[in-house]
Amino acid sequence: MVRHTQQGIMRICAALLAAASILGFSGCGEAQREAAKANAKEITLWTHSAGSEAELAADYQMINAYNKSPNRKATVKLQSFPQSSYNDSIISASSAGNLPCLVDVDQPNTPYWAWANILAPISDEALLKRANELMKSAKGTWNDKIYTVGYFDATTALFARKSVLEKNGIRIASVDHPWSKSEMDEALAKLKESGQWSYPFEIGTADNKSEWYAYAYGPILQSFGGDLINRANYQTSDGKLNGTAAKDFAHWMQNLVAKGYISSKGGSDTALDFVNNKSALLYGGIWSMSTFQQYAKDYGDIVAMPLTDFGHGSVAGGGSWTVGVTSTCTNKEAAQDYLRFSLQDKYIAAMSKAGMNIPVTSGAQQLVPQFAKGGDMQVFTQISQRYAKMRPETPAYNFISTEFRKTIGDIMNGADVDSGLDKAVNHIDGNIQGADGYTKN
Amino acid sequence: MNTASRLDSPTIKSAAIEHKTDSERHHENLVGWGMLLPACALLLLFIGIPVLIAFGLAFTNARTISPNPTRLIGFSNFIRLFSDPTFWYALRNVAIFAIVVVPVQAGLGLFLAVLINKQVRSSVFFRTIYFLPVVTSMVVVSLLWMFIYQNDGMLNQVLDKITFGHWQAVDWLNDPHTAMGAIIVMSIWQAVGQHMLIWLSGLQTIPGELYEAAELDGCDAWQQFKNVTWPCLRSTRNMILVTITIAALSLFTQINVMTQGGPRDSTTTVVFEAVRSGFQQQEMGYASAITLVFFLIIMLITGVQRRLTQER
Repeated sequence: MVRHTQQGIMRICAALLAAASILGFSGCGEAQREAAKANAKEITLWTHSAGSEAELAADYQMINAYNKSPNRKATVKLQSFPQSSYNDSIISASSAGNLPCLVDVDQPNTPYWAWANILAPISDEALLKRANELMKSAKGTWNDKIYTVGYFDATTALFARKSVLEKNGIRIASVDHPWSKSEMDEALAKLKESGQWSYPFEIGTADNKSEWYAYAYGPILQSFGGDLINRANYQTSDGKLNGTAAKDFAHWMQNLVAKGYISSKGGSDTALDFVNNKSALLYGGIWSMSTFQQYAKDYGDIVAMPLTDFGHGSVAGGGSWTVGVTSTCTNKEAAQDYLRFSLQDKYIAAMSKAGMNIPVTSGAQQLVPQFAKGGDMQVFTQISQRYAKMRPETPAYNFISTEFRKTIGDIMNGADVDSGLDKAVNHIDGNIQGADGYTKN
Repeated sequence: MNTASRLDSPTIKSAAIEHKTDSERHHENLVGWGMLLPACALLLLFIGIPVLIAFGLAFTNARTISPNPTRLIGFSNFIRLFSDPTFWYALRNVAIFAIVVVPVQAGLGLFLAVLINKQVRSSVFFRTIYFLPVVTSMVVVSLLWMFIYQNDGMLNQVLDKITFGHWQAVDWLNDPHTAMGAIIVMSIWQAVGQHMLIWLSGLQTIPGELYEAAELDGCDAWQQFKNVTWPCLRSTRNMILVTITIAALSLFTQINVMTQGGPRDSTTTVVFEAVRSGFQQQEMGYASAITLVFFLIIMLITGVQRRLTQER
């Protein structure tokens, strides 16, 4: 009996030891393997594009071409993640020390990841030279250093049917002449009055878990004259997010719901709803166009217009996915060499075409018929070039985005504007102070 | 002699038994500890240590990713927490949820269990039906109910048909007055089967003779329930009370999928706020402070419950 027990305990101990050793080894194994790979001239790229076959195909096109080129400095491998969990994967991999050499980054996150030592600034001369030829919104910068580069940019616009606008006596806005605030208010009133739609306007309010609120409603706030943060030193939102302009903006947004122009929880696929004529006016991303091209029978009738000028000029969203080198990468030279290789016009064109986004060089734009001269997507290039305003380049942006999303959501549902905005400013300022002003000690 | 030996033998025997059990108890203890060891080690590794770390982090400005070293900031996280109206809304919502869900879900579970406790053929069918939502993932259930609750969803359609078009469609999850109620109904529907099953196992431990005796004494169904079933279910009842309470207080999945705490904080919960601060906003220190406060609240409530149920 005694012997049995002892054996039993020994066995259990052995099992525990084995389990512990597996856990232990797998913990550092990943990092070691990564280091070994880098030494063996193999680098890995993490992307958010799992599930998006067109983008994956374009990724592989570039990677295969690089891996076959005689001048390659390493072999590149691709690992893709679903977009919804991508940022979390990066952050947990970073705290575990398991990051690969190359990661793709949503452009507004670049300063945060640069501050947190996830990303290293780009240092390669040839790559920097090429980066300077790209559109401004294709670069992730912080403290005057370029950390990431991208192949395409997205933007936001108003979509409507020409026939509907004409029928209701509403002017079709152009890139040169966006609607004024009063024109917009009048248009919404007319569309509502027509009684044809229960909610004539759709601005994607259901998308309250992602970047959408800050990406799309931030420009409205900026056009009113407010901002998410004081960009003078990025230390406070006071006066910007709770000033008179911001309050006007918040009241306007609240009225959209109160007057029944929008639903505070709209449809989940706003582009498809527009195709099915569930809304008359859509404020959406450039990617809505691919839905229109695929499903709209009256595609020729749909017109894209810049966002209304609410007093301080029309503003469009800017900044999309970019790629950067991690600070733990042991072969930064090869990683940057690959980036430089991948930024050729033909690959930029392939990547942009995959998601119907704006190619970031004029050369690449000529290679995509929709964006070339006379192409039906060219209007977005103009909107982006003229009106795009980058989201605040500060590590605090991630926090600001979550706070803005919640605050505007509450306000649209009837919360008090003044106290709501003040609360958001308090939280944002508290976060910045808690992180020592997002400086590096 | 005879009497003496008769008197002696049991004592000798019992002493022998005592002696045997004494040495055996030692081995049994060893075996017991050995069997406990893996579970204890895992609990310590994945629950004990993280809980202690969280308590420590609550007094720091720790962030998930940061180039700067973490430092102690005393009670600032708690001061910020108690001055944040959202936290008080979260506490209020959780309290409402628990106060409604605990009695209703437990009561409904017991009602269903009593109904299907009869040994008839269809009881297996109903058991399966009631248990089906429990084995379905909460995320899936939440998504389905989101469609049911939509403005043009099933619930509004049915109400519209029943009232011959007099029903004004309600956006259940997007109205601060109805959102929490909608989540409560759906949560009870999802989990009632599980508690029905626990009640059922309790019911089946009650010996049939007690009911026969009660019947002979002329008790009707209600009197049988009151005087036989209810007292016999005491330990089952206590267990269900504690488990439902803890499950209700840690409401999270439905909120995360269906409302994100909105509209206007009407459905936010303590756990949701902790996850939001810790993972969406990467403020680990603040999130740890929320969980520490939550831990103390749960300890207090279960402590009170234990006292109350023990006194009876």
